[in-house]
Amino acid sequence: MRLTTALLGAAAMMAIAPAAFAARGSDGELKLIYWQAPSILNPYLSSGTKDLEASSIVLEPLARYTPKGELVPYLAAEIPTLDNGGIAKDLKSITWKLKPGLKWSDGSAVTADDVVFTGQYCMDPKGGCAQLQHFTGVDKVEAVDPTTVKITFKEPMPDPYQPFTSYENPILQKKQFEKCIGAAAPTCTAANFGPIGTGAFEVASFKTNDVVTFKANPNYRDPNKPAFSGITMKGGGDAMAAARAVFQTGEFDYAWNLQLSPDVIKGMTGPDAKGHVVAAFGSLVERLEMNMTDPSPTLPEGERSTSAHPNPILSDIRVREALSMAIDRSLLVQVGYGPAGQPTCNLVPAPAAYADTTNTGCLKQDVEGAKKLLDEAGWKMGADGFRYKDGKKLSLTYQTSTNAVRQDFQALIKQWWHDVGVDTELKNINASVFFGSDPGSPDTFEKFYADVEMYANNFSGTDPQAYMAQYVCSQAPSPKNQWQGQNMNRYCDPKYDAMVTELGQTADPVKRAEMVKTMNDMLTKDTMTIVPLVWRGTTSGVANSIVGEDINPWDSELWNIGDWSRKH
Amino acid sequence: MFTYTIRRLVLAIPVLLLISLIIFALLKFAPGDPMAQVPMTVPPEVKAKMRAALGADQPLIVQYLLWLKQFFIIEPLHILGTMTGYDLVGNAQRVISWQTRSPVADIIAQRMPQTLTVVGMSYVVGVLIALPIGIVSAYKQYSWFDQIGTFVSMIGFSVPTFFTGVMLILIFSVYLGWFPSIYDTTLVVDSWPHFWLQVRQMVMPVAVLALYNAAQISRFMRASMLDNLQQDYVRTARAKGMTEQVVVLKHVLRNSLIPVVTVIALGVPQIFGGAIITEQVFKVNGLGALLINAIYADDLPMVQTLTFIFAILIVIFNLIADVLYGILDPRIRYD
Amino acid sequence: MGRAMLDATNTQKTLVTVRGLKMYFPIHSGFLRRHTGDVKAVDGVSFDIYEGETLGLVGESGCGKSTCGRALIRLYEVTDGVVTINGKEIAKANPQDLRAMRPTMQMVFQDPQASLNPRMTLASIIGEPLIEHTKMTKAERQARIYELMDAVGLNRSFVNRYPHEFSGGQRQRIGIARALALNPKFIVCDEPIAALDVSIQAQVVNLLEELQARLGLTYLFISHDLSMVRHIADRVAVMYLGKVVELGPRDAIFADPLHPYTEALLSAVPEPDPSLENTRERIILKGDVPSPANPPKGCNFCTRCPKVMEMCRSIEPTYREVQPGRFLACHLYDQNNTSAGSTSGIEASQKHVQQGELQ
Repeated sequence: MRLTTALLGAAAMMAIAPAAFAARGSDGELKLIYWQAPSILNPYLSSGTKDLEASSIVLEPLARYTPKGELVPYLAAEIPTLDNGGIAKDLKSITWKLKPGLKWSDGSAVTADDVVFTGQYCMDPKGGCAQLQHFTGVDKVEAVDPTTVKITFKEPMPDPYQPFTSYENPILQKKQFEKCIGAAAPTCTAANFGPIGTGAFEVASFKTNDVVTFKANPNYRDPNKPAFSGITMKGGGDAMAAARAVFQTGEFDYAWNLQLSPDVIKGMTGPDAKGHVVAAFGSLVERLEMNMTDPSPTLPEGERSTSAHPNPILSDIRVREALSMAIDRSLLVQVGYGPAGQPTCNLVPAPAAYADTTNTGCLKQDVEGAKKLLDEAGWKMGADGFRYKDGKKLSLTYQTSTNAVRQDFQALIKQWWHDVGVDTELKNINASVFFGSDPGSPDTFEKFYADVEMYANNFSGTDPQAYMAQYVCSQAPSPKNQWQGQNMNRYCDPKYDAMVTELGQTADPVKRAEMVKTMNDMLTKDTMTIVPLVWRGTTSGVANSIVGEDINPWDSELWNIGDWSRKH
Repeated sequence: MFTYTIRRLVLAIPVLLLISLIIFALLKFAPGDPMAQVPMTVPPEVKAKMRAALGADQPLIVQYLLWLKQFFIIEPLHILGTMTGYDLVGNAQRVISWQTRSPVADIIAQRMPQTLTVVGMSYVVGVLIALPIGIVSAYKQYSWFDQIGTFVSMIGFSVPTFFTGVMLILIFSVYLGWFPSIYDTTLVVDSWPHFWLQVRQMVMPVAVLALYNAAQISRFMRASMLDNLQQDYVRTARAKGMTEQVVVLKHVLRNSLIPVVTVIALGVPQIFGGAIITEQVFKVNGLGALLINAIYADDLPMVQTLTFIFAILIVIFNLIADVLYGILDPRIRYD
Repeated sequence: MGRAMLDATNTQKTLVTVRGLKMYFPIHSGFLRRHTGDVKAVDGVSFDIYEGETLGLVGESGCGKSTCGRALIRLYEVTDGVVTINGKEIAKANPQDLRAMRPTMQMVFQDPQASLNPRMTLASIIGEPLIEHTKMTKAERQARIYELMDAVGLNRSFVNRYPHEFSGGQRQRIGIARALALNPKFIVCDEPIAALDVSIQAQVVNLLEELQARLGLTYLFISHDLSMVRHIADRVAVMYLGKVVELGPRDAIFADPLHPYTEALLSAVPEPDPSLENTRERIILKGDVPSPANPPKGCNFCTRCPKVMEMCRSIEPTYREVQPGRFLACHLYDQNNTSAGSTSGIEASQKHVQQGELQ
């Protein structure tokens, strides 16, 4: 009934509104295919990007980053800064003002209480909130008045835009989730499957891991939007089938995350294709991590791969550098990622302000240079084509997760290293074990019982501070922290630790960017601790008839779904 | 027969309990972590808290006993409660999926219809195709019909469903555009056009699975018919002056169906198991897709519950097959 | 006595006439399963069966006697030949006519277990042909079933039991009751006692004889058990490799076998009289029976015949009446056979003399 009224209202508006504006709901249904189907629509309990993407259609944060990396207000009236007084001079608080007259899709008003509640919901110690890291250092969230929220930090926060500024931590409706706080969180199935939001659409039906349908939010703040009357978000199958549904059969308008080999994409996007590929490059970098400690199985458990024993081969920077020089990154991109990759030497390739554009030394393969470096390091070529020093063979173990592209990379890199006289033993481990961080398993990427390992990582949002902080000495995984740190390399440089501390106290964006670049160089070209290979983007398929789509590496790909429309 | 059935059912209880423990232990000791899919940007402390909120950090025996209690006491009470309208469960925790944080039973109930329509229909279609093919193939052994039937069965046996499925999609969805390549589970059949849509989207998955089922069952039917056609009692029936129709359909077919019926009964749990590959290919998202998805996500309660339900169904349908055999074949008596 | 019997048989009415009956089973081989040959299981058989008599059909296993019996009442589609039973042509009748003739001719099978449908009760096994061929009411049918059960000596309370619940002898009684259901004139008994215990055999044979006497039945009694045939048959036909080599009155055949094969076959029968048993000379045939798919040229028996002649290997002997009521296919008794080798000619004439003496 309500939808009918809304449609009637929309129709009435159309009569008055200038012809250039499409009226709400006039473009019919939008069909999205997410081959990994959404499991839940509550981003605070979610286990994956697929769920966050789906919930971003309904739930909105105070502000979010555009594809260019700029922060723009969503539920907030404006972005608080030092200049407009929204950020306190001591960097210990930030004050957000909500847009006036905001309404939830059920018609009730959005107030500062909802924001405060969302903070409590995630910070509840029993809730198992998946987005807790966004609230690191938050002391309290309080409502100053019905449209003003003040977030106070325990320490000065140079980057106070962490809470409520991305699709990972949008605002929940207090009324709906009030009884779902803490340990009760999983019991609120109805709310978790159908959160009430402020976005352009509201949930119409939810079948977990299968299909979600949405309809236009009658109370959306822009009366002319969304152009679509509803969305079907179908899941299941694989990336190939999803690509086929957009490019070939035209059954769907948008296919998310087409992790397909470059040949396959090329084959499906000929001139007759009904859609095209879009790519977003965030901060995801496929890299080799060098183990600075000794992973030898002859060491006792508890000392293996810990700072107690430095790596007998890789401790020499010349070896690490030679290993990097032997690699042809352009070929890796061509083989593995096609339009979804670019060669890089940076750990932080984006946003543009933080990327060191001068760090390009590794882009050109230099086999002779690598051989020379190894000679200098005392590794002499033996009769069998491998190098030896003091009777010890230059032999490395190289592990990664089981994945076709990664195994191609392993094979290529093994060959290149062989060309310079390095023997490599390859190993691949099931992804759920490798990334599973089970302290009992010897095969996790944190335990790193190998000399070299390969995976991809990125940071959420646009600020790399937390990402850079992973490489301090204390974050090295070891029995002391149940192997839970993220400094896989066991890299340890007091100078770096000091810079991390300093970054945590610096608010000036220009200075911050300079510091991040320096730290990036320390980890990559200066020490070759981390050897970046490919800057990876995500690719999605869009039907040619869709207008307004703007893929975003810093937020949900559906961040501006209210602005999408269909070309007629 | 009745006491036999009861005895078998009672004996099944300890077997099933043992099975549940084995499944649980296998799942628990298999490498994997429910948090593996959480993006790496989430810090380990947060992951540890999430794991604790799921109860995944409890000792094995505690988790198992909790699951037993939830599965055998709370879930049945909940079902009883929904039927009678009384809240018998209160705040007690039902079996909750780690991945979706919703009750496993609800998700299974949601998935059941599409699995039963598609996989069930394909089984029915498969059987309906297989029986006549098997009968005619045996009656006219080595005829052209039999040769073609053998060839088609060989294809049904040996060509994997992910291949036939994708072939059908390429031909009928991409080039001809006759059928949708993606199954719409939100479709409600409330009118003739919608019914037509439902038929169209079922054609390809049902065809793929029916081919496979028909291949198996038609071979059984043929072999069983051939066995019986050689028997003396068939000659007796002919000597009695029965028509060929009566000889084949009454005497031979009825005797040949005994083993085939039990094979069909034993195949029924597979319907509930869904068709993992075919469901994936056509995005039917039934129980098969649910299981494989849960395995990928290390959703232990979901995998445990689903596999255990399959175990129960297998035990029950084995019993049904045995009882059917006893009913159909007067030579067999259970007492 | 022989004369009297022969006279009697000649005056009897012929019930079954078989002329040139052939039953070939095609052999398919090769990739395309082409028709490459035939197993000549029955290869041109002719004989008559008189009303009320029992014709014994004997021969080694695999000689085609069972096939002959089945082909006779058209349980196989015969390859060639003419069979008339009670004046009606069987071998080429169309299916409808054939079914109408079924009640006249029935069969009792060798394996009573296999020949009864395991999923049918005794009542339905016996009753089924009654439904198909008569217009009896249910009560009439029930009465008839009981009547038949009484006739074969089965307890009426067994009526709803299944075949597997009976012993072998009882099952054969069911088989007989079933065969009798439609008041047949002619019954092919295909080794009806071969699968039974010796103690039961006599009971079943006695039952068959008793029924014959009471109902005036005509039997074709197929058996490899010569003593049993001697007991039950009025006349005996001997088959070898798809052909009848000799046919004649029982006593005549047993007393004076003409064909060398019959002779060999009968020499294996134990004599009840111990004095005669001691003097009995067994004729051991050498070699194996040739494959019916590839029978030897000339006389079928030429490969094993102890009295083989040159012409046997090239010319097939004709089957003809050599003495009144005695039919034979052997060159030894060929009247026009003077051109054949002298030795065999002498032997043959000696044989004639011996026969003459006996008569």
